[in-house]
Amino acid sequence: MSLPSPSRLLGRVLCPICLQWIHWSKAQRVEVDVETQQHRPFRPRGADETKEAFAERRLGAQRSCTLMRDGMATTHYLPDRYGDYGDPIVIGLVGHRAAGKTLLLAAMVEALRSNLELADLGLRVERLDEAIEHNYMTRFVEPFCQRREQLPLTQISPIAFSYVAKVYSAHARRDFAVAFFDVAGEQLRRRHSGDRFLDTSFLSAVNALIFVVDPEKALPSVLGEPATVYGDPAFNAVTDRLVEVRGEPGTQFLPIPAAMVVAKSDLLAPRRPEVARWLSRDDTRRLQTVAEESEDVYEFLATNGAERFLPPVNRVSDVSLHFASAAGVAPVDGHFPAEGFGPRRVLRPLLSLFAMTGVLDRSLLGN
Amino acid sequence: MTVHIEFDPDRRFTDLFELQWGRLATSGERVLRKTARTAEADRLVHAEVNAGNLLWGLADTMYPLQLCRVVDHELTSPRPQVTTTYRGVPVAGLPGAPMPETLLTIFGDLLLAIQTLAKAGLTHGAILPEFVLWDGSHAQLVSLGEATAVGEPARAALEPLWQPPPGPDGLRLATEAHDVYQAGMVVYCIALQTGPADAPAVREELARGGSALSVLLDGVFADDPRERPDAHQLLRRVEGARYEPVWQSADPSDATTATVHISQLGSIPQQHSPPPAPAARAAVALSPARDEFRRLVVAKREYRAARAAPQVLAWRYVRELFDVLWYSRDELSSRIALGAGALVVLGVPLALVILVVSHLGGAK
Repeated sequence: MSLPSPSRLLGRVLCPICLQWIHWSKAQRVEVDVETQQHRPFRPRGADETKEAFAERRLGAQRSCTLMRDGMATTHYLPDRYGDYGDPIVIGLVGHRAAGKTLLLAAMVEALRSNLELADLGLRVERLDEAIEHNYMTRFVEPFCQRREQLPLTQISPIAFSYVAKVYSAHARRDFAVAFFDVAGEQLRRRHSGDRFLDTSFLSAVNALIFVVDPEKALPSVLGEPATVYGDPAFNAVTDRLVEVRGEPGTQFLPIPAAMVVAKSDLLAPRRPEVARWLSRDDTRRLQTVAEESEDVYEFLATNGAERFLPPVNRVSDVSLHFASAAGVAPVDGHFPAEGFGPRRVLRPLLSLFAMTGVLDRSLLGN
Repeated sequence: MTVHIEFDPDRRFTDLFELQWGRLATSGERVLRKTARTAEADRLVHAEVNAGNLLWGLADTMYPLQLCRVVDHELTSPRPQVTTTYRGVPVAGLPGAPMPETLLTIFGDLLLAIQTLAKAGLTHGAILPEFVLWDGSHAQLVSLGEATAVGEPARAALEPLWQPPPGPDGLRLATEAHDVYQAGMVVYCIALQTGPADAPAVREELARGGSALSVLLDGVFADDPRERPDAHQLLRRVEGARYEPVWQSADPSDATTATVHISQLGSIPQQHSPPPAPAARAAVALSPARDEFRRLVVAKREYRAARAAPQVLAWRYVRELFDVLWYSRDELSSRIALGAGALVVLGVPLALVILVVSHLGGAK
């Protein structure tokens, strides 16, 4: 028998933006006024409103969360159904500026929403919030995946959900809200400023991380470019913060799972057969090979001068390592060429995290 | 863009081409310029340039090192010419049979080259030992003049023993399966230090040997192209032959297992082989990084198991429950007071009743 978590038992959800516990059933539901574009309390179903019209209006609802500080109230909004399914899975993407986080997430989301193989793993993915879905698809997925456009660098901005989905797991026999946070690389290094909307306080609410390694920074020697390799400051900043906030005494490990992804692996494949071999494999569903791939990637990074990127691997309590490429090719003048364009192995890091967080059976990972 | 090449003064002549080797001034890379001498050579030069363009068009960020690269060409002159990279020496000229590890690398690189060509919609069409170069660490497939679009009739006029059997319909159309057949034949020839043979003879020879080579090349020489394994499947076999034995062993002292296994790739006369060469193999399979990672995995597994112990889970649960309750104390205080009140209101009379009943019962 598995007990519901304390927060679920008490109907509380941790707001990843302001880190307050929200009593979910009491959180105010709001809607956007079409005329003024202002949030207003969600109107109950009117007498002349059909059930269908009400359901349609409900799609645009959000929950407001207000942070009181120094007599000032700041309000932000969460998806209406974010807390309906118990503790959400909050995934943060970590990596320096231009490491490839945004493209990786866009390719991941596209695969998550359209890959039929997920059903074989007992997963069913649906949108959780119409506005976030629409915004993410039109700003990221469609320009990148369909028009093959290079996406602009993520700018420092108030922390907000990048993408959120509802995932039904046959293994766990319940739905999960899965949220992704993709913030600018330099934002991850911001000092704790007290401004929870701009610094990396949201990291205290994440329960899984994706570390994105940029081969151009981590593996210049493999690419034939003489350069000194330094570690990724964003990796260190995030790890340090998590140690301070969530570290447990008496252990070297941080109780959080993570996946490390060598992004843009298409750069490496022509030069290194071991990378080409992994990239050419079609084993998205076969998570038993994750252990093997992790070992290969670890050795590849450790023996090719990228050992400074490995500290997060050593610190987190559960980890997998992957080769992946969001585009499969390099952009030319802001566009990706059609030939060879396509994501490679972008879903596996996410599926690994699902296995580590209980959405999928952990034993699928084979170690 | 002008490519500056420093050509050697020597030239060689074949029936088709005038050959001149040189080096790229910028990188020192070895290149070969082929100048057409006949109309047929003219066609080959054009085809090679076309294949080079298609490969560049794949727009991979890095050009695959398993294929030669067209660095310069001149198609408008009466004697068209093409210059391509030329790294290493033909495997046909290697002294003796290569080491098993080398053989696997050559085969793996050929398969990667075939896969890359297939991505460009091409087949090489003439994978022969003289067109497979070895530079000491990797193989490079050169001479793209016979490259043919997949599905087109194969053009290369090869010796019959290098020709893969045609499809069931009698047509010999360009397909990856034919490239796989020829790559397999190259490996067969250099491993056993023998010449090409027709498919039934090769199958018979491999079956008789019962060696790891026959496992590696199983199905490659099938008569029907549809029954041959594709490059991807063969790459997995290569990978398996390299890693599998060591992968199964947790004991570092078993590092030589892979060597023993790989050396079964046929009874090969090792003319240039320093006898026990497990060092490189062991370095691949049991590197310090791999060992370190495995130790880390074990330590993390133990940590997770310890965290999942019932008493630890219970303690964490209580702590988290208290944490959420403490945070919600303001909101909950009225409910707690109400609950306490209800307990008093209901509990006290109930307790009194129980006391009275038990007292009266005792008096009897």
